[in-house]
Amino acid sequence: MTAFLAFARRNPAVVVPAGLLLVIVFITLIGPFFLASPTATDPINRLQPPGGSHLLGTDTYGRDVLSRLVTGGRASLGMALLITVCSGAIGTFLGLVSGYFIRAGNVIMRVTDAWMAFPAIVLAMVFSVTLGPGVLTEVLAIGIIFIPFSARVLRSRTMEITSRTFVEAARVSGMGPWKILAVHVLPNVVPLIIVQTIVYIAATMLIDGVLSFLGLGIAAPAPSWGNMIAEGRNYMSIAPYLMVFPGLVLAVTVFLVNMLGTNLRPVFDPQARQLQALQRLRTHGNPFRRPKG
Amino acid sequence: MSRLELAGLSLTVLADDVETELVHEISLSVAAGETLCIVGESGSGKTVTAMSIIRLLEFVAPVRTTGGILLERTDIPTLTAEEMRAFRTGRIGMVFQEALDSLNPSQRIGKQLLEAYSPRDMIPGALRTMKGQQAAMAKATSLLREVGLPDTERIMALYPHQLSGGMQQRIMIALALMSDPILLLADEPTTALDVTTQAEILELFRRLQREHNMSCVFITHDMGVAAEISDRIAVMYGGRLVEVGTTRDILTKPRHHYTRALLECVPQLGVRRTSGLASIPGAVPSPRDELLGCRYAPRCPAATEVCTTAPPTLAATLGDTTFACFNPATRPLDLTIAVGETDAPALVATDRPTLTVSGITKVFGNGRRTPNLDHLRKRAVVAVRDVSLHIAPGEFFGLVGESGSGKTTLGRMIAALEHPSAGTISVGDHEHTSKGVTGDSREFRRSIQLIFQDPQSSLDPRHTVARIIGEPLRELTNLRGAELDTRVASLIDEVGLPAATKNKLPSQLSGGQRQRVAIARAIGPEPRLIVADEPTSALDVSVQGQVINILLELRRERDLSFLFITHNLSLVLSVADRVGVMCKGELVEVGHPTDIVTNSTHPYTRQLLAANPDLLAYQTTNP
Repeated sequence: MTAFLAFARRNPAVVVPAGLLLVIVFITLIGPFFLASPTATDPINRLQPPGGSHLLGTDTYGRDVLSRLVTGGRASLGMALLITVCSGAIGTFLGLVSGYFIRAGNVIMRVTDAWMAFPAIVLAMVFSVTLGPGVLTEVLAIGIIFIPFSARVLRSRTMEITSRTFVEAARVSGMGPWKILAVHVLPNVVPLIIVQTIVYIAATMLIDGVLSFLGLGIAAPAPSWGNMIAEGRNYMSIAPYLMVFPGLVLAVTVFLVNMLGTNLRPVFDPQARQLQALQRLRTHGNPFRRPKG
Repeated sequence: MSRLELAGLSLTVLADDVETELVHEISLSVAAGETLCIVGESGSGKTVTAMSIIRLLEFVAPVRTTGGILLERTDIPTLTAEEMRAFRTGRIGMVFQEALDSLNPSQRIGKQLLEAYSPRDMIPGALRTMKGQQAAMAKATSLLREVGLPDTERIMALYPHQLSGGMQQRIMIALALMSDPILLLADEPTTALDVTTQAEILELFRRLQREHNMSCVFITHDMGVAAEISDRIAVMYGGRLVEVGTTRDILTKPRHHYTRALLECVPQLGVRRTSGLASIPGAVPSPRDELLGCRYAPRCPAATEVCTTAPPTLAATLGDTTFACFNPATRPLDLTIAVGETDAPALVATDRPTLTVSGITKVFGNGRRTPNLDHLRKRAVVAVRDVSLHIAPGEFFGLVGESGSGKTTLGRMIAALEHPSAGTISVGDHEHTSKGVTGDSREFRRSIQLIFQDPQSSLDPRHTVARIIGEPLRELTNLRGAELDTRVASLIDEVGLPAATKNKLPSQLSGGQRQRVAIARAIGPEPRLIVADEPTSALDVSVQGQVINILLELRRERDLSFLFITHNLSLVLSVADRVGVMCKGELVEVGHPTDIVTNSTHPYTRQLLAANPDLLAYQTTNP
């Protein structure tokens, strides 16, 4: 506990966004138990403005926006996490293999080059249209975009680590390549994987939003932040809050996730930490300079 | 009046919210036309001192300076950033260790030289005029000739990577001289160079400094280099100045026990030390360690009670030497004391050799496309050409050569990290050819182990010492569980580390301790031959002896053979049983160290011997 407090004092930029994100996750997890059903329609009370009995108002079917927001968050966040973990695992594996086995790596990298040449959103749309909307489709459609990126980054870090002599020492000790990857390389790339995963969560949420907005994500009437924005679009002039609330929540969450990812890097990476200290020095001046005269 | 004056200079750096005093109250002066060498091991504070003179330190770390740095009566720490920029030009030049890192890789040499042209009276923007350009061009051309690159037009059109290391360092020197500095700072400018190139660059420094009447502050960890270049030497230890005096006094009659021990640690040409090198016990204190007395007291053989209770001040003088010590040494220094003149275990010539290398050749990039980092069509490079040698059981074989001589490639082939292109390496019943290792490769690995140059990189930062040492045991032997733990513990003990080391991470150890861990890992599976590739070149001299002594002891106890690869001629000639000299991929000479020193006939070996910085030679010519 004291160790955590010391860490929190030194890294407020990590602890604050992480804490706020935990709050958001907590609300989406337990919120639906206390709120009205997100799909229960009430045509008489449609398009109620925020305030009154519905805190954030109601939509065109008279459904409670707050309830939909909380339940939709569950879908959006869960989806983002699932997608990043799946694509991260595959990307990590490909990155490790292509970084260690140079020949195989060259083949894998040519494939990923071609892969990355496709416009990401189009690729995701093709998947969604051909397979029909659904959770699995979305995981495939969005996950496939991130695999080559994460493989690339992991590959270069793997190559950097395999050039260090402790990997050669392991070879002299008679260790095989797969064991070296598992015992020496993987633990040394874990910090990178964590930081990368967090950054990808933010990107995934945005793409998920876009796909839902286009009607290719989670199907109505089940809510997600993306499809709520899409539905609100038609009533933008008379009920702007239908778009503003989910948009705001999505933007804030993505911002927090990005902030966490950026600020977590220096915690793991001493080189980035030094760079950060230097930046602080340049912007705030030298706290130490000897007074003149 | 001295040109540069450091008056009670202290440097405090803020890192991770902790203030650390790196340099404590240093007072030094450098006269016009004088070269002062600041000598010290890693962590002594010598580099930060130089960086603070040119005020570059504040770009890298938040730093507080107290005391004065006076260059021709201007107090450097009081200048604002803009004033400092104007002041620096035309007054201070600096040469760094890594020339390639200090040159812009994407600009031609000529452009970089012209850019640095800024004489003190130059009007701003003059470089853009025709006249200014011509003046700068003339200056660059004459300086390039001065630094020994007469082919000026061709050189100016080249990019830094197209030059050799020695040429890059010459360019750096020309660059530093473009604005006619009155003070030249040099931070280990020859450390990354081969001995023969180093000798040339030192000679160049000497000449230029005299011709331009510059004051020079030369930072080095190498006493041999200091002997060749300096007029006076300042010795630093743990952020304190411990002794200052003329080069002659410091090298022949050092008063401080640290200076003395440091000099004794340097292996000397022609002095055999087969039963062990001198070393200083313990390690350099960290700047964060708070010591009441002298910072050297815990390692000092002459320390008395007063040494641990009060810090000595740099006040005592004997002759021209000033030192900070309560019990100064009075005898002159004798570097010729040989230890163990006899060759330790008598080598039986009839024994079956541990290692036989016959006619091996290694060719890289045989003209085909290589699936390596770059996809360029490489020309075939012969790294090792037709090398044959054998190493007897218990023999300490030294292999010397400059960078690119193929010595490391040879070592890697012997350790089976690389397959030879032709020829055979045999160890016991195993043969290693271009097709790989015959027989059980586990058995082969057991008989040959490797120690790497940099223990920082050769130990996995995420594994504990016990896990690192246990790795080859787990892979190559059948030891498991409690037996394995006992074995690891005994190995830790054997290399002289405390038992508690086993749960530490490499980052919690000093350089010397890390290299001991690497040695323990190598001897674990009980190999018959250890290939040691520059195992001490990343370590301080005072620790180098400790590591070499462990190797020598292991050899005595276990009849272990060593292939000791190094660029350090003095070191290998003082401890090895036989020495081989490699040049451009070929083994040009093999012989007993004494024979090599006294009557080597090969011109390359003679050239190496002549370029080797030598304290003994200095002592005999300056009694």
